Amino acid sequence: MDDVSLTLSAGSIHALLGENGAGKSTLIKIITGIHKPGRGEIRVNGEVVHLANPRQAGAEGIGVVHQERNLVARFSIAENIMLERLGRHDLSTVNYEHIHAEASKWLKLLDLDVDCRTPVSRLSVAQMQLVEIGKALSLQSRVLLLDEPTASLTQNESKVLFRVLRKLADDGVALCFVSHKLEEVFEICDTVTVLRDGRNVCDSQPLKGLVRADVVKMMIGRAERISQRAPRPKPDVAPYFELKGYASAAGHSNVSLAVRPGEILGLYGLVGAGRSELAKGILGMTRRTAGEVLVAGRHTNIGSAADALHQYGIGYVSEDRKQEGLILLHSVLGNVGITVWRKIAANFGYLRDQTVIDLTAPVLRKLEVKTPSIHQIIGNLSGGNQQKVSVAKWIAADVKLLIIDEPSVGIDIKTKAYLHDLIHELAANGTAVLLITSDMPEMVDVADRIVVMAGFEVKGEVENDRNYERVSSAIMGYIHDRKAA
Amino acid sequence: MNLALGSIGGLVAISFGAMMELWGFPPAAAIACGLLIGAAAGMASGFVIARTGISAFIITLAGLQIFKGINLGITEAQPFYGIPQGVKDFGNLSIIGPIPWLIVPTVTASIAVWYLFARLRIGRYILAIGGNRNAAELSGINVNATVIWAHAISGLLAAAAGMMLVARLQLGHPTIGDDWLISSFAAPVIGGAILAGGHVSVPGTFFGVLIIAIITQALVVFAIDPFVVQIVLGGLILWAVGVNRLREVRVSKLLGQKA
Repeated sequence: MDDVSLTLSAGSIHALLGENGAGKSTLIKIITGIHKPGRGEIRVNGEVVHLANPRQAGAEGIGVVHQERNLVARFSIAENIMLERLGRHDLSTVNYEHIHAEASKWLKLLDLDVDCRTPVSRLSVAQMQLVEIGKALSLQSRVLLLDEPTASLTQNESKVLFRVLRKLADDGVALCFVSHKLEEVFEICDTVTVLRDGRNVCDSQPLKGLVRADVVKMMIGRAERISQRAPRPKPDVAPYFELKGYASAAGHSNVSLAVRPGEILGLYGLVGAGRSELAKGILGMTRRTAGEVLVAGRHTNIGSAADALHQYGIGYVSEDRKQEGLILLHSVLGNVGITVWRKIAANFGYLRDQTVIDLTAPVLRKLEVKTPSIHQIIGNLSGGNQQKVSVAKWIAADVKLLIIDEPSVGIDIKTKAYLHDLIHELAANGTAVLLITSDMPEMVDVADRIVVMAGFEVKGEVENDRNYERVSSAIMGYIHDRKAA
Repeated sequence: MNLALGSIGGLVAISFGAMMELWGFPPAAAIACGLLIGAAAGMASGFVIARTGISAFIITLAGLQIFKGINLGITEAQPFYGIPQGVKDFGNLSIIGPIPWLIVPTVTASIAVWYLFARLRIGRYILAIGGNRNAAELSGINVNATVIWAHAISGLLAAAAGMMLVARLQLGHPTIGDDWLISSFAAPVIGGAILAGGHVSVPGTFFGVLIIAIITQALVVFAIDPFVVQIVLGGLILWAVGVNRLREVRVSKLLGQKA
C-alpha cells in the first residue's frame, strides 16, 4: 500500500471500495492493529495512536466484524458477546446473571429478538452477524469496521442489518462498510473511499452526486487498457465438457456452461462466488444434487479427482499452490510426475525414475522451469517456477480439459505473460481450458468467452471481444445486477 | 501413524504359537497365516480410517485395545509353549560368529520397505499423501485405497516382527508387543522421518532401531533399575520429537511458511 488516506466521522457510514487485491483488507488489518503501517499515522479523535495489536485497537474504541465468523458455536449468544469479560481473572466464577443482563442490552439495541442464552449454533447467518456486531459494540467501540457483512445474507436480512447500522450511526458511531454490492453502498453510505492497487483513487469523498458508473470506473480504472491479442474464432466442434442445470451439495444451483476443445472459457466472479468450489465439484469432490455433467457429449458421473484425471482427462491447477497444488517438501520430479505414475507403473507398480524423467523433462524444458536439478526440493524454487511446475504436471498427463484457478497469484509480470501465452498455446493444440481468475485484465486478455458467477450461480455470459471497457462493465453489470434477487 | 502396531504384532505372535501348538501347523504355513492376519488387521484399521475420515490416531488407538482384547481372549493370558525346535533355532542360532539368523528377515524387510518407498507406485503415493494430502488427491491419487494399503503394509511388518520375537523367546507370550509403541515412533524419527508425513529414511530408521536397542541393552547390562529404563525411554521419545520439531521448523523456514 502506498500513501493511503481514509477519514471516518462519527454519525456517518463510510464505504471502502475496490477490486479484489486493491488493499481493502490490508487497510482494515492496519486500522485494527493486525499489521503495522510502514509509514504514516493513525489518529483517533485527533490524537496519534500506535496500535501494536488488535487488543490495543479495541482499547481505542475500534471494533471490527471480519468477513469470516469468529463465534464459538456451542456457546450462548451472551457468552460470545462477553467472551473476553467472563470474569475478572482466570479463576473467577462466571456471573451469568451479569453476563445475560449485559448481553440482553446489546441484543435490544440490535433489534435481535432472541433469548441471549440460545447457543449461537442455532442462529441464522444474519443473526450471527448481528451477534458479532453486538460483540464489537459491547467493547465500547466508537469506530466499527464491517468487512463484507452482507456477503452471506439475503436481501431481507441485509435490510434489517442496514436499519441497525443506520441507528448506530445516529447514535454517533463511525462506521466503515466494505462491500462488493454497489447498490447497497448507494443505499446506506454517506461517504466513500476507493482503493486501486494499494492507492487512493478517491479519499473520503461524499457519495452524493456520484453515480454507479463513476464508482465502477474508479474501481476498475484501467479503462484505457487494450488487449494485445485478437479475438479467436470459436472452434467449430462439439463441447468437450458441459454442465446443464448443475447443482451441488456445496450450494451451487443452476450452473450451465460448455467448453469446447481449443477454447478458453473464463469463469469470473468475486471472492466467494463459488468458482473454486465449482472446480472441486467438477472433479467429483462435492456431491452433485441436480443437473447433468457431460464429457465428450456423454452423460457422466465423476466420483473423484482420480476418476476425473484417469477416465476423463480433467486436470485442475489449484489457486492454492502451497496447500493444494504442490508437495513443497518433495522434489520437482516428485511433483511433476505425480499425475503420470499411475499411467507408467509397470508390473507390481514398479516405477522407473528414468521413465518419469523421459515423460516430464520435455515439458519442464518447454515451460523453461528454472531449477538447478529435477531433484531439487520444489519449495526452494521461486513462485513463478513453482507455478510452472503445477501446470507442467497436467501437460505431462496430457489432459483434455484443464481447469486453471487464479494462475497468476504471487508470480511476477514476466511469468504471468508467459503463462498467458502458454494457456493460448494449450488451447491452440486442442485442450479445453476453464480459466478461473479474479483479475479482470487477465480475464479480458486470455479468455474467449466469460461466464459470470455470483452467489454460486451463473449470472450470465459475455463474449470477449477484448474491448476492456465493454467487457468489464458487462461483467460488473451481471455481478451487481440489482434485479437479480 | 499406527498406534496398534504392537497389539497387531502381539496378536500375530500368539496366533503363530497357537497355530503350531494347537493345530500342528507346519512353521511355513503358520508364518504365511500370521502375515495374512497382520495384513488383515492393518487393512481393517485402514478401511475404517478411509471410510470414516476419523484420524488414524483415534482409530488405531481403538484398534490397539481391540486387538489386545482378542489376544487376551485367546490366550487367557497364558503363553503358548509348543514352538517347534526349528523355529526356536532360527531365533537363537547364529549363521557365523555373532551374526544371528534373525538378521535375515530384518534386512530383507528393510530392503523391501526401502524398495517400496523408492521404486513402487504405492510407496510414492503414500509419501505424496503424507507430504500434502490435498495436492495428492487433486492430482488424481486415490487417497482411500492408499491409506488402506499403508495400514495393511504396516500390519504385515508388525506380524513379521511378532513372529520373530516368538522365535527369539521360544514361546508365544501374550505380552509381546506391549512395549513397541515407544520404539516404533522413536526409531523412524531418530532416523530422520517427519512425523507429519511425506518423508522417511529406511537406513536412518534401521540405525534408529540400533541406537534404541543399544541404549536399552546397555541399561540392562549395567543392571540399572527397570524403572529408570522407563524414564530413559520416555526421555528418548521427548528427544526424538524435539528433533522432529526442529526439523519441521527448519523445513517451514526453508519453505517460507509459519511453523
